[in-house]
Amino acid sequence: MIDELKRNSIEYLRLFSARTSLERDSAVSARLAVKLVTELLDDKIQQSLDRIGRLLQLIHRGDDIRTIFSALRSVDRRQRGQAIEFLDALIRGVGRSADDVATLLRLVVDDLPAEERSRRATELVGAFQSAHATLELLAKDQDAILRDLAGHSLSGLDRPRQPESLRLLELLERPA
Amino acid sequence: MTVADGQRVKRELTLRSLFPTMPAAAHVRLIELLEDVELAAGELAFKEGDLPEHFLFLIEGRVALESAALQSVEFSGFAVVGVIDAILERPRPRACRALEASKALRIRSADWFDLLEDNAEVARAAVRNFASQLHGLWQTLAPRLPRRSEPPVAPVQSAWEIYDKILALRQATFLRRAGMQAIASLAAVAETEVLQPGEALFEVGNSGEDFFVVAGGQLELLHSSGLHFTHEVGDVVGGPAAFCNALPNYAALATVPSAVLRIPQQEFYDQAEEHGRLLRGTLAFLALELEALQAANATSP
Repeated sequence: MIDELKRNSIEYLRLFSARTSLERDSAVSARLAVKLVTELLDDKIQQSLDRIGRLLQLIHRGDDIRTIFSALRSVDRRQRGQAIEFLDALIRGVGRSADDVATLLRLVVDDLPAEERSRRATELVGAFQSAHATLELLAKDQDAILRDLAGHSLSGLDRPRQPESLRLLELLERPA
Repeated sequence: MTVADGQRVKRELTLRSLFPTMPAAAHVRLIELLEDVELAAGELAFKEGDLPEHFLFLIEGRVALESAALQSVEFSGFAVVGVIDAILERPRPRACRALEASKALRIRSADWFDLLEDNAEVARAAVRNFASQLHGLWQTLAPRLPRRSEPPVAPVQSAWEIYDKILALRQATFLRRAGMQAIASLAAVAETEVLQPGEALFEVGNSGEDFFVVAGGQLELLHSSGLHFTHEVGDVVGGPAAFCNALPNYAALATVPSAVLRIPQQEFYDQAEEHGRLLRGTLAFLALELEALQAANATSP
């Protein structure tokens, strides 16, 4: 169970860091093909978070982990804070033998800006230096759909932008 | 928690009335998740603005969903009350008040969705149940729905890669909340059918075992009653009829060069077991369509 928690937490952080890297490059992330990759990453990020929630529920059957995880997504900062406090106490209860899992879980649930979470996750999941490098990594992913979509996005990056964008670029670059 | 034998039999009978096609194993699980509720006349089962954490299977009496701003909806006999808010994950727009002494079984919405996501047959029954209600209204009101006045003139490609299929399914209204994983999985099993003007997609008496999503062009849906409806890109051909086994009563033909993605229903429900958002998204689509048509029906002369 602890190993599964660890595996899913690392997967969450890997996908999250990949997504953050794509979003960082607005020119790349605005492309339709890259948007599909981002949407797929969002789904997979949510799925790994759901799995973490289910695993924690198995460890702590008496608590309503689903509701606590829902509160993590609340727009109300106070509610998010309470959920994190509760999960923190819960994670402490996992035991000393699982200290590294507790650290991972805190990084998953803590209320951090995306860039900061990615930065802290670097030593665990590697660095996603640029959107292009991220797409190259994802184009070798184990997940066939992610691999295909990332590969398609990469091939699109080598082609000129859509005609409207080219026209816009010309206007922007025209000397005053 | 276990349920006493007498109560269990009563609940079993109630569930068989409400969900005749639900598998026995699902009944057994559902019985354990239900809680008895007795409402005195005037008592509220939930308030306006409450989160839809539960909904009710009404088994006796009469209740109404009420709000100062919206039209009231009454339920009596066996009925499912408050499930649409749970599907749409929105605060209650109406309170639920007992109009007379009433009995109901209450279930946590999360438990209900877990049950649906774990069992394709139950999921299918829930979708069919919603779609049947919607289909009745749709047959009456569909001709009044706004459609594009001119047929599309863009040529339709003949070769569809998986990427093209993903883009086409992403436009499908019933998949709007399904998520990219589910869409990509469906794209992997979808087959393309390219049609010339006047060519039939299916005739009356078809198997009704597939969903057809318009990926390009335009199709005309025809029913022996005289109903005809134009389907555009993003539509599932047949609308609610496709979700409640009513498609064999219809025919569909292309009015311009068109492309359609065919998804076997069994594949769809198998994917729904894998991807919870696919089922919830489909139910949300049906619930929104049902509400829109009910509203149109209530305001029409």
